[in-house]
Amino acid sequence: MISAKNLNKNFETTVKLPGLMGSIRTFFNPQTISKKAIEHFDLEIGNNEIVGLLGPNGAGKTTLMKMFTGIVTPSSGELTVLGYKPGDREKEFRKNIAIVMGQKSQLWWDIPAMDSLYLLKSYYEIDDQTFQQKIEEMATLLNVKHVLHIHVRKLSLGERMKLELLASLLHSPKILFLDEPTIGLDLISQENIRYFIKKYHRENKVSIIITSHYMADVKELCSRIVLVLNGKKAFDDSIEHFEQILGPDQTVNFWFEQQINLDPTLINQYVNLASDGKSMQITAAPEKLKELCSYVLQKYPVAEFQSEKTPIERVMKELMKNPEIIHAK
Amino acid sequence: MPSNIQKWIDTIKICMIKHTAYRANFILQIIAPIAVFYLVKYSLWSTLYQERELIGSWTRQSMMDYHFFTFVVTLLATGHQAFDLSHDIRLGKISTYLIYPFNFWEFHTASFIAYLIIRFFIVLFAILIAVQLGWIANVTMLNFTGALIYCVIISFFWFLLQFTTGLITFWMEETWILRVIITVISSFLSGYYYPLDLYPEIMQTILKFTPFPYLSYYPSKLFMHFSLEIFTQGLMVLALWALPLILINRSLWKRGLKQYSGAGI
Repeated sequence: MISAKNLNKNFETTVKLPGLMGSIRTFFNPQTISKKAIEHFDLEIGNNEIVGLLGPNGAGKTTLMKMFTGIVTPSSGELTVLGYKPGDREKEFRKNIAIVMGQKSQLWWDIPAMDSLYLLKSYYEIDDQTFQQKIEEMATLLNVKHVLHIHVRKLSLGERMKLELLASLLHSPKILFLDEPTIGLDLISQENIRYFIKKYHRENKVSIIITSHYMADVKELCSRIVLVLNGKKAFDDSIEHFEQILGPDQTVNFWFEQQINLDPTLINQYVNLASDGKSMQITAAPEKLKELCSYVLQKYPVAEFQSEKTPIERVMKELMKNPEIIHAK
Repeated sequence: MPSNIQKWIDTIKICMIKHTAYRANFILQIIAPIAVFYLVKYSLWSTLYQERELIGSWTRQSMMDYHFFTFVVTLLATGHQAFDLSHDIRLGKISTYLIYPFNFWEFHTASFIAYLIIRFFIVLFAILIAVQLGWIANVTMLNFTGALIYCVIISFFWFLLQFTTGLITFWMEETWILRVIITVISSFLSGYYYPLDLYPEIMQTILKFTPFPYLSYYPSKLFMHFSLEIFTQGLMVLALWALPLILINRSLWKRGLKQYSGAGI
């Protein structure tokens, strides 16, 4: 479905010096720098996959999305999506992809969403029956039937995002690109959108490429992770392998009813007691963790404990602080 | 109906809904031009004619008619596409159109046609008011129909010029000053401020080879007295200018897209 070989993308940017004098100097002597947004990127994505493109801000995830959808053209390298060169922007190619941008609305702001949907029906040449059926199904599932005839500018962010998703799926694309689809949404809306995407993928066998800074999205939706660091591919494997980049260790957090003092048994590399003595974090391999946890539960007045739900988040944090870890592995 | 024509019709419809979405703004669009015409041009030329009967070969009434019709031509033929276009490019909104199976130029042309249709009715309304209030002498059906057809055709030339100017946003983030320069120059050279036969003869001869007189002076004269010769000459000159403009336009679009970074997403 997507095949990228030795893909590169450079952007030319004018450097503007600070202050008024800097602006005047830049005006008479503009200086441009070439920034390598993507470097020697290879990627193969097959049918029916959900792939998470992860990386810090400015790593090149969105540039990759833009190249895959034909919004920008690669500086060099080979890229085919569904057998087409996205940069050629053939209409048949465009009919088979869709992109949802969390930070940019594609629905017309000044008119009701339904008018936008009718226009998309025309653009994608969808017959009346399929259109009505799709609207009915998806609007019910996303709980947006009641807002279809309200001006888009009057809708909440959550409602708009759901309608963006609905609009992008009207023409049954073979590949769906989701660029931070849950950004800025409350927890319930995030969950609704994740549930919808998961269900849609299960029933329609569409390939989905998603970028998100919310690890809950990635954990819930993706089976495979492609990590992008400084424009280069740093990791490409299953989510399970990603979670184990820092080793097989898992973490449990404890909160105590009162301040505690560690006894010698727990003074080791696995245990980290907070300075106020009221909370503790244990990170260890599963067997060792089990042993230490039972000891803590028996010995101390535990008010609450929680095992780590998204180890992926810890891995991402560590990688963003120290990208060299990945190369060492 | 072929699907592409249907796409055009649906886009025009949606753009008309968009243009008329804000009721107050829409009503002001109708009232403002008539009010501005009365307050500025009508008052100014009435004052100038208080002390004389003729300016050049123009009587007070013919000058009023001329200025009313330059106003009508401007209202009908010029749009704000360059602004919309540069806004779309600068904010990365064209990304959406690069994804849809309906091209960016198709969308903007359809949007322009929608705007033209709305403007057409505003112009009819303005002419009706002006005739009722006695600002202009009665227009004949032949003058009126012929000139309106001519105006609709030249509006596409204006659109092409504006579209091309808008594409420069790929390189220059702000193009408003360019638009102001084009508007001022074209207003001066097209006869928007004064009839061109008041200009020196040498200037009139040179201007005949440029598109400018055919954008305001001649169409206004067509409203007053329809002439097939002016009609065809105007269209031929504009067609000759439109050809290189189309080529420049296509080249700018191709080069601009290579430059485009899709900022904002």
